[in-house]
This record gives sequence, structure tokens and C-alpha cells, in this order.
Amino acid sequence: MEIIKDTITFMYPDKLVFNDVDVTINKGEIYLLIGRNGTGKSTLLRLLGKIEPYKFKKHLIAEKDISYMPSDLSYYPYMRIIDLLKFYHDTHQNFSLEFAHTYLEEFQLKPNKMIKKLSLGEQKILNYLICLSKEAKLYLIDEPFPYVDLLNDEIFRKMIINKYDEEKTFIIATHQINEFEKLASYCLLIKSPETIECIPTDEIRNSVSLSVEDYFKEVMRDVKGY
Amino acid sequence: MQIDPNKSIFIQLADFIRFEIYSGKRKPNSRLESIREMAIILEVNPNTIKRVYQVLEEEGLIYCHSTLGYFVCDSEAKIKENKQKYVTEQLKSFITILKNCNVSKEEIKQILGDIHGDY
Repeated sequence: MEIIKDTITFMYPDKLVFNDVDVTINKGEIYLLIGRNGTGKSTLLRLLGKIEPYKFKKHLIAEKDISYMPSDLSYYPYMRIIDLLKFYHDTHQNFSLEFAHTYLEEFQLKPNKMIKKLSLGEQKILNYLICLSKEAKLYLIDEPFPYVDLLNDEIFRKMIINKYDEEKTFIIATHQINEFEKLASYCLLIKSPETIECIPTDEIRNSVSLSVEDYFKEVMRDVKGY
Repeated sequence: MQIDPNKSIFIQLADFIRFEIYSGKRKPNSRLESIREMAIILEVNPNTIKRVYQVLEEEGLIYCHSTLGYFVCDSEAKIKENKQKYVTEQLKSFITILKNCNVSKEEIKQILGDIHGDY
């Protein structure tokens, strides 16, 4: 079932990001959003998450049911992790403290640690944890992987599968394609401001016998203009 | 199970479970992992597992209990029948290759003799 469908044209004052590009998002799928640097991955997530003002023709998800994880979120440095989680619990509907605490333990983060004492990777993990602790219908996750070690990557993926059900849709923008391609049912490939390809990942493997990562390299090498 | 990222995960996974049932590693009437459990073990999309289970169910190799989950088919005869059908299909396509390459019976005998040790 389609939850978002539109032909998007969007520009910043100095740059045309999308020009009449068709985007369709279906319920209950995990999308891998890929594209070269500066092609508009984050912008697309911000549009879909209703962060940027944009009037969609069809967008069935209410703002309260969207959980968005920006790539560059920062918190007050003097807060402790546990204070931050409590803050989210108090200010957001459907924020599960229980879920957050379970995974804090898995990631071996101490609830009493100050935000300013966290490493880059730990900050990413905290962002991610907060994003997924919210019970939502549409999860938009912007580049979850840099600075995060291999074992924590694994916990990341398990968290998503645990969270997944047929009512939830995930869109994950990342450059580390091979970490996520097994998990994704579709790959959204931003080729140019005019084209976003949406291909089932198994179809890529089946028809051209390439992993999504290799396919991406093949395709983008031929695309000029970035 | 090792997943080859260059091939369809759906096909690999369906074959993997088929082989486990055909070889007797999974016994008749034994419970399969739930869709979520399997997804977490293999770190693949739960929808893919669901599709695999559905296809295996259509083949009659597994069945779905409304509350307890998926189980391997309880009839050994049915499993054997499926196994023979599967192997026959594979051998047929193998024979097509031999025909296309114009391999004589003597050559086949010799090749089979050579690789018999590996089997």
C-alpha cells in the first residue's frame, strides 16, 4: 500500500535539488536510500519527514508517527544519558523507555554518562537509540553508520528487525551499502535531480548478479554531472 | 549459512531450508524458527523470510499452525517425493548441459569416476 506518492520539485535558494522527480513509498518496506554526495539524500529524508515545508499530494503519515534521525544531532553536553531519555519520554508520545534501556545495555552505554563524555560513535548510537525508541510508522534514518564499530553495527540491524512489523516503514540513507543491503527490500537510488530509481534489492541480485553495492558503483560511474 | 551478496537472497534461503529438510537435518514435524527469529539470525529482511516460508508451504514442505508457527511437513513420503522431484529437475538441467557440450557416455563415466572421490 502506498503511503507517500508525489512528483517532487524542490530547491534551496542556490540549488535545484529535485526537478519533477517521482517518489513512491510503500507501507511495510525497508528502503535503502543511496546516492552520491550532495545528490539530496538528506533533503529527501527531510522532505518525507515533513521537516522541510512541502505540500505533498499524498502523504498518509501524521507528523507524530514519524521518527526522524538527522545525521548531525547534538544535545546539551551537561545532560546525562538518562536525563535525555527521560526528557524524550516526557516530551514525546509513544517513547518507550523500556526499549531504550534494553538497548543501552546491549550497546554497553552507562545511563549515568554525561553527553559531553561520549565519543563520536557513542553519540551516533544514542541518536539511533532515541530514533528507534519512538513508536512510529515511518522511520527516517540519516547515515547511522560512520564512527560505529562492527559489533554495534550488528546490534543496529537487529534493532531494526526487532522493531519491524508490517505497519512500519524504514528509510535508511547510507554510504555503507553492504552493511544494510541484506536488510533492505528496496533500494532508492538518486541518479539525478530528475530520476530516483526504486528497485527491489533481490531483483538487482537476480537480474544482473550484482550486490547492491556493486550495482551502485556500476550505475553511478556512467552518470555524469556530479 | 553464508549468504552470497551477488545472488538472490530469496533463492539462496529457500534452497538452504529445502536442503536441511531433504538431508534430514530438520526432522518431520519439527518447528522452524519464527519469521522474526530467522530474520535476526540471518540479518535479512523479514519480508524475504515470509516469502520463502510461503513458497515452501505451497510446495507442501512446511505447514503453518495458526498459533504455534511454522513446522516441517509431517509426512516423510511427501518430503521424499519433493526431494526426488527437485533432484530430477536439477539432473535434467545438468543433462541438457551435457547434451549441449556433446559429451559422450564414456566421457561421463570417466568424469563421474574421477570426481567420485569428492562425493
